[in-house]
Amino acid sequence: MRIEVTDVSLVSTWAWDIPKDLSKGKHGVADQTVHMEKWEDIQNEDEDAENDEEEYEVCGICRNRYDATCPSCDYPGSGCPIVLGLCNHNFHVHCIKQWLSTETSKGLCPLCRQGFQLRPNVLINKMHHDEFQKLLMSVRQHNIPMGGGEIDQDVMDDGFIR
Amino acid sequence: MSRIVKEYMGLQKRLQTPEFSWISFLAPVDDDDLSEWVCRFQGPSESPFEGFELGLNITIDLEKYPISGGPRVLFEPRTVAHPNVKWDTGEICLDLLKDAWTPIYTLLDVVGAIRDLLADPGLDSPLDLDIAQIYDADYEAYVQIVRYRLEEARLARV
Repeated sequence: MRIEVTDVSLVSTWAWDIPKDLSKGKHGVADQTVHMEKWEDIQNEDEDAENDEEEYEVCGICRNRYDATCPSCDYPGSGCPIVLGLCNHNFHVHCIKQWLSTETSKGLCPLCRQGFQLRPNVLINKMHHDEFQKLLMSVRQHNIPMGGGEIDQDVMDDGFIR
Repeated sequence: MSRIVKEYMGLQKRLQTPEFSWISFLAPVDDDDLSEWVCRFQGPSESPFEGFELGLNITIDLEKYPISGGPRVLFEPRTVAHPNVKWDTGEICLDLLKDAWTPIYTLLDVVGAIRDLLADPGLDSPLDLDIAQIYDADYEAYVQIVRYRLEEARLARV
């Protein structure tokens, strides 16, 4: 049998290493690092999926773990990172974007109902900055006056200069 | 894994905890279809609903839940006399199910909020104006009506 290779795709896996108390604001932003984990480890952990909510930190929207796939993803790591909110609430980027795209959201964090914004100067937020700015601007235009905290445009603009 | 499947998987275990001992039943009508649910729960203590079991019919739009909207929840029609419940249909007026919805809420949160509403009606925009007026003017009469209606519904079921 002769095989002709027409395409080669690299496959890699990842997991966010989130310090337990990051969401409580005890760790500085500088503590955030991205680690690679062995695929086997991740799979083994997935078997405990039922206990997720008690044992691991989960995305408040989909209730899946931060390093698991959100319901919009096909396989782990298919472009589903988390973003950190200024209000200290973190979500899968897909989940929070879908929520902020609804009119009901009024651009607010689902947990604390403050105007949602990305935490500035955080590496993993950086690539979503423009997209969120657009999203929040359009939500804001559809909901005047806004039901909660105003989006702080200065923070949005200045956050990622460095 | 979708949110509703996630909730479904952990639900029966959570229902066995003391926190939810007041819920006697919460499950999909058909385990293969998570869009239709039924719930039975005990009326809140120190309210006219104490000592009665109430029934809810819950519909979930699987495409939308929980991001673009919460569940649609109705009391069993013609059982609940309450300022925020439409008597004939069982429709419930609760901000959490409408404008105040966020995807953080789960089915258990929703059922809990409905139970709280029974004990503590909102009188700003009542669905049942007559009951709201009686509640306001003569609380004892309100209690009598609520309990009479519930008793009637209970007898009808037997």
